[in-house]
Amino acid sequence: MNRRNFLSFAGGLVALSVIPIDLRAEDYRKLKPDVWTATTIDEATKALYGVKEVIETDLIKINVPRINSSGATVPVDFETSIDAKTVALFQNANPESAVAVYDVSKYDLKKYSVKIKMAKDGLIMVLVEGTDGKIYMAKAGTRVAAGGCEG
Amino acid sequence: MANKISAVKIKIKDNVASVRMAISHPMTTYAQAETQTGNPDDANFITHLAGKVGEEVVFDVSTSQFFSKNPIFSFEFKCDSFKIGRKLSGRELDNGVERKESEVGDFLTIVATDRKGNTYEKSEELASR
Repeated sequence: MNRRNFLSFAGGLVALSVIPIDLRAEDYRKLKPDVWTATTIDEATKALYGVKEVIETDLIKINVPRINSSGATVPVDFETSIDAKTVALFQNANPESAVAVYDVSKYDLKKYSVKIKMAKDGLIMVLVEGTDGKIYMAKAGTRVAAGGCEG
Repeated sequence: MANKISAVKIKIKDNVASVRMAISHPMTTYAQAETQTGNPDDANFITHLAGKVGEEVVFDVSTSQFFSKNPIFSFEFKCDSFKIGRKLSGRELDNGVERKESEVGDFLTIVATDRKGNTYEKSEELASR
């Protein structure tokens, strides 16, 4: 093997090893099991992103009714324009804090809506891990007339 | 009622696909399972949801027990790199027009996994008028 062939071969190997495994879906319940047992928003944030500064921003929009007749279905819409790696939805009304962690793909427009359960009045917090490594946050309060976790 | 993904609806406008899906699932929390059967380990809820077009993952979320019973999820994704099919109009359907092979779009497949390990799957075509 001459020098030119060897170099192109080695270059190809390096390129192969650099290609990220992007096609696989991420399961954050297996990847970060501590997030789902954390009882406060602070603990869940720490478990998911490590100890980092959280920047409050208005680039994340949360739309939630101010008063809900039932905590069994609380509609939450949220969106962000930040270039994100992950988006997490937390609340502080239930025994555990974590609700959902979205893994953002290059197709995802980061505009979601879900219906969640809340046991009592509380805060809904959306955290965004930007591609710049910073953690952004926005929160919204909501009240519920009847809790949704008692069964 | 058996657990399943009961509906996936896709609207396409300006290369943006808005997807809404409804899932039939009790989504019992640990607290609910304890009051119902006495064993919190009987809790069963969706733990992971993914949406794929072909091999590309367009939507991916890991979820907890705090979603409502029979939850509804919606999200949006860019679909300009996928093939969009053409829906037939009512008049064409009445006249027995059949779609050509080239007018069939890519399919979005939603896969849901719950805590007991069951997986539910539903595919819906990316198509617009």
